[in-house]
Amino acid sequence: MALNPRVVIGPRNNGDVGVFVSPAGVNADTASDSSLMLNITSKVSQLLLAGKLTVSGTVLLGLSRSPYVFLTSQFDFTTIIGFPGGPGPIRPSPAIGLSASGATINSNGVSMTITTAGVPCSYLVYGIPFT
Amino acid sequence: MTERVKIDSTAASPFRVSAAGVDVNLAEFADLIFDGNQSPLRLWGTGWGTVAGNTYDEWTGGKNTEWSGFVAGPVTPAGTTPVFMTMWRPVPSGFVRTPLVKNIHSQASAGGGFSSGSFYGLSFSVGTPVAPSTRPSDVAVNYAIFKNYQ
Repeated sequence: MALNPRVVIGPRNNGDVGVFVSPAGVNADTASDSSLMLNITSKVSQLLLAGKLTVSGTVLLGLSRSPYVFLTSQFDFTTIIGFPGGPGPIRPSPAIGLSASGATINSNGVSMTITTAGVPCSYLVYGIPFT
Repeated sequence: MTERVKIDSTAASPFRVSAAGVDVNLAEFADLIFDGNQSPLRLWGTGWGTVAGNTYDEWTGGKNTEWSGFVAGPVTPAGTTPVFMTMWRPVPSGFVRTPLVKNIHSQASAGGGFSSGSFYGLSFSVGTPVAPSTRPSDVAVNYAIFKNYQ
């Protein structure tokens, strides 16, 4: 009995190159894109780095071009009357009564300096050049 | 032939995949479609819920946010929260909007956030002084929560 390969690394039947993982009983070499469990062939969701700073600071990136960076500020939900939870990230960011957080990309991607708005700030760095 | 996939447990990155025509050994970040040092975004769940706004009386009393029921998110290491996205729309409008705070009578505004391990839809809408104890119309808040955290 021939086994269906469930993991393909490199080129597969339709010419795409990457990494492909299929569900049980499905051939990863010939399956449609929509039926795969994992399909690494594009840069769409490629995170390079994710993290959080509690105070302003510099994060080393080691890149040669400026990447896309997304910031989300924390919010002290305890300032909302009656709210049951504690501080956390919020959108819009920040929501109420705070100045904006910001990031400066240094030397074309060598590092980035994040200026927080007095609250922790989360960052996502993507593998897509901004400039 | 250009090498595009490389697995090397002793390299700075154990697993890299480069874009078409780019040597994986020489590719800079913009030409990589996967780098094993950082997992790609992995969807944990999506959904939506409705939330009413604040009454005028609540707003004059200092309350500026109303929240929906919570959605317990994936468990992440202490001090971190999942990556998430959220959008909203007034009910029954079909026009979906990015998060926004207005706190202005009769102008809906909403967003969402993570608090104590759960996602909450948030409404910043405020009722009118003509009906000070009546809540403004519901807003629908949708969300996409990822297993990734920060």
